[in-house]
Amino acid sequence: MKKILFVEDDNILQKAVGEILKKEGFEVISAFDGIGGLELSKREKPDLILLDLILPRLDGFSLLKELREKPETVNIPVLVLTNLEDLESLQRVVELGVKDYLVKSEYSLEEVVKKIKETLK
Amino acid sequence: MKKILEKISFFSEAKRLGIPFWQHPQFLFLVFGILISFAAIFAFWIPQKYLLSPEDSALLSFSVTGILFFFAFLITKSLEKLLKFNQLKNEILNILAHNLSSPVVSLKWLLESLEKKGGKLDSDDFEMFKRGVKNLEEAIDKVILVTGLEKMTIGKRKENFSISKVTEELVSDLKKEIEEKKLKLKIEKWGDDEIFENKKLISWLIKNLLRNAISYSLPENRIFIKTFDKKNRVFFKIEDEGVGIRPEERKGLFQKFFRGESSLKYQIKGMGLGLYASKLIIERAKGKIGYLPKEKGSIFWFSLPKRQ
Repeated sequence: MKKILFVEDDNILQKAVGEILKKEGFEVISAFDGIGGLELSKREKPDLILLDLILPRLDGFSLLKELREKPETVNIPVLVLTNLEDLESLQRVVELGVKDYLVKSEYSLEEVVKKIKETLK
Repeated sequence: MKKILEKISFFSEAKRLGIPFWQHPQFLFLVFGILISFAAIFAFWIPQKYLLSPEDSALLSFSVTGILFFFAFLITKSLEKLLKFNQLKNEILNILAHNLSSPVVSLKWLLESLEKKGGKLDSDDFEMFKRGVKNLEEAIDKVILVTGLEKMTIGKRKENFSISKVTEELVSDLKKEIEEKKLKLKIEKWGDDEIFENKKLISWLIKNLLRNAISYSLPENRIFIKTFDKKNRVFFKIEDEGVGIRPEERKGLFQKFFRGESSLKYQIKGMGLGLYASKLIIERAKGKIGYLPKEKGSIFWFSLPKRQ
């Protein structure tokens, strides 16, 4: 069973996305802030990290940087799920080596799940 | 003629932009054009009429050029201001759009996941849905509040009330969030903390500070709230043990929008806009608001004139 770490501080999204991914047969681990996300990345070694950029304690950009600098997490693919639409921010995440980014308002939940499955193939 | 006048209506345009009319680029260009015309005539006519020496003519030309350069400088400054205003307007729209789209997306995806469950909702689903709607309401309220405060169209009705009493009611409203994080909250009242102000706005302000303290606290942290009076002023202080605010982000804390490396996250989580609105509320009430750093956590405070 593939393991997905979902780093998102919105409880509602955690519930909505978490439930649908579990139904699709994934194991879902939740982190509600950047520090929690970093710790769980190192400990659980997920197959994919689904990452929001706007997080308390350690934001998504900083978390990405940390993941890329650590040998135990550098190869974990990251799919960014964000509300940010400005080009500067999206450029930044691409430069930090994410697999892809999805702007939440442009996708339905079904499309997000489809994208996750494609990334994990 | 009317169309021409409408095109050069820098008075109404300047008012809309919130700048004095004499700082509007169109007005400055007009003055500049008139000055150049006079300067040209001046520089040609005066030497001829008064038979000035070549040195005096040169000095006159330099003086006129100096004046024209000064006006050109004023015009470029004015244009810079307009550009900054436009940039700020775009930033405002970006952040407002995000503030509103975020809770909408959450609700949309929740509905989708509930549909996949066959539309059967349990109490947890209802709770999530209610929370989502509440988040959306609060996001919209914040936008309306900031706009209303800037235009001075809200918060005119005043009444006497105790700050600590309002705080206790608000803490009760936020009981669930406090319990979820197992936070320990204490309220202390010293002296007379009654004020004569718009209760709705001050309640919003206190709730905003409370919310920030809860959001940025770690599980099982403590939050201290103290109200006290000193020399005809009532003080409110809220202290948390949470993540705190980085030094580079403290400077622009109460500004409408500020840019630091991670400041965008605070704006979009509502902290920036909320603190800006809080500042507007306090200033309108002839009070003061501030932030004090701590080794671990933050202290936010405000003071208001005591009820007379």
